[in-house]
Amino acid sequence: MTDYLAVADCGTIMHPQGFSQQMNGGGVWGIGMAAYERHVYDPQNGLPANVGLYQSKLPSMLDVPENMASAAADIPDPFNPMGGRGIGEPSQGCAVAAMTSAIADALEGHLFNRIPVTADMIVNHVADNSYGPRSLKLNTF
Amino acid sequence: MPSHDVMPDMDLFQPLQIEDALALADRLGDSAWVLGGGQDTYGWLKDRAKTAEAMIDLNGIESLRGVRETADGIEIGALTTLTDLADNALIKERYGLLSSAASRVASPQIRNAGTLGGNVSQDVRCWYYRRGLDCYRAGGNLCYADTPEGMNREHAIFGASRCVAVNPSDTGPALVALEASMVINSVDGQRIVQAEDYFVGPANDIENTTALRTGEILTSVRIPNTWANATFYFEKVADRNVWDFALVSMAVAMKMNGATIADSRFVAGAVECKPRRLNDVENAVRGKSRDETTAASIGTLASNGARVLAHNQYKVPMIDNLVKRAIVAG
Repeated sequence: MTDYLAVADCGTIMHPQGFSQQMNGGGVWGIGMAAYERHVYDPQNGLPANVGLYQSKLPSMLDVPENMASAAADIPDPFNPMGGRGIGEPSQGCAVAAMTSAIADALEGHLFNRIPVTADMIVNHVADNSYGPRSLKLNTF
Repeated sequence: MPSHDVMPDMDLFQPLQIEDALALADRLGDSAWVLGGGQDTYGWLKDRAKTAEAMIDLNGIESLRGVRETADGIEIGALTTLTDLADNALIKERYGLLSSAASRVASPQIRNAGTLGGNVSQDVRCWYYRRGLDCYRAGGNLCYADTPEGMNREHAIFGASRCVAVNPSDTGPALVALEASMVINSVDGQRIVQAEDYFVGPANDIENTTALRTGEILTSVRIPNTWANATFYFEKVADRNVWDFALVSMAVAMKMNGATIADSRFVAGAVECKPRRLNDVENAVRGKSRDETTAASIGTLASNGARVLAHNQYKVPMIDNLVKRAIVAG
């Protein structure tokens, strides 16, 4: 991903710097969720594979856009005395949607219908590889 | 998997001369662990998956550091950090392939601590083995990764023999491409092993990734002038751009005769338990020009004979494509 802009309908902005940090932090989180952070389990032995940070593959500084921008609708929430809303998690969801949409766009509309969409899945799809019975392709169209 | 924040109880030796380190390695034998930058070692110790009674810390031995020019090329001390290797002017100028490979290892912090000797001698990264299971490589009698339910996305498509782990080194393929040789010392003297023979697969030795034996220490790596200033190509495909092991990597050295490839070395990483020479590709591109026609003519030469597991089929098109990208690059 080379460019990223997230816009939130989050009520009144209380703290502009805090807002942009939440948006960017959640954005990095979402990029990881969309394309990197797999939960790998060996179902036969009940063992988790990614038990260390290096195996969990959260995105690094070079895996996220150099400039991540954010903006807000800045319309006060009538149900909150201060007009604000939480912005901790919504910023993650929009980054996941942006990343998976970008991948689908690059693949002429192909949807994997799961996350994360990792490099091996994309290569397998483009190369038209046949998958095993437990393949990740089962739910894609 | 238990994890602890303190070092296990072991004797620590910090020799300042290589002779003392060799004497210690000889005296302590199997009970000793030889420590370089610690980027492989400390993971094992922290997870308590492996331990040792004694540790021989080589970091005080200054003669093991640095890059020297020799009559026939260069000699790199085994304790030279990957950062120093990636930044070294001489290596950048003549053996850009190696500085490219070194600069793609893990992360800046790890490259500051990790050494060339450690990078080529590190153990496999199969996660079953790393968590201390009793697999073939650990002396047991089964492989957890090569089963219908096994999670083996990062594992081998070539050279599996009971164990299906790959060699994770990034500098290894570059050294094989450059026809490097490894200088191994022990109290009994010195032996020189070609990089190609330094890495060993499970068919030959299932418990070690290298030809290093108990009592021996890798002291330096020599690179001959053979491929100095050749045309190089290095590419590492990983999930992340930083701090990740290769899914497949490709190290290529080519000697050009005008517009055609006079001779070449194609070496793939992370597809086998040792860097994989692609002899068929080298033969096929000899005398050809670096264009789309040549790339297309290679077809699936690089992946011929691959045996895929449940989750690593993607490595087949990946190795073929990396060869093609190397041919047409630049």
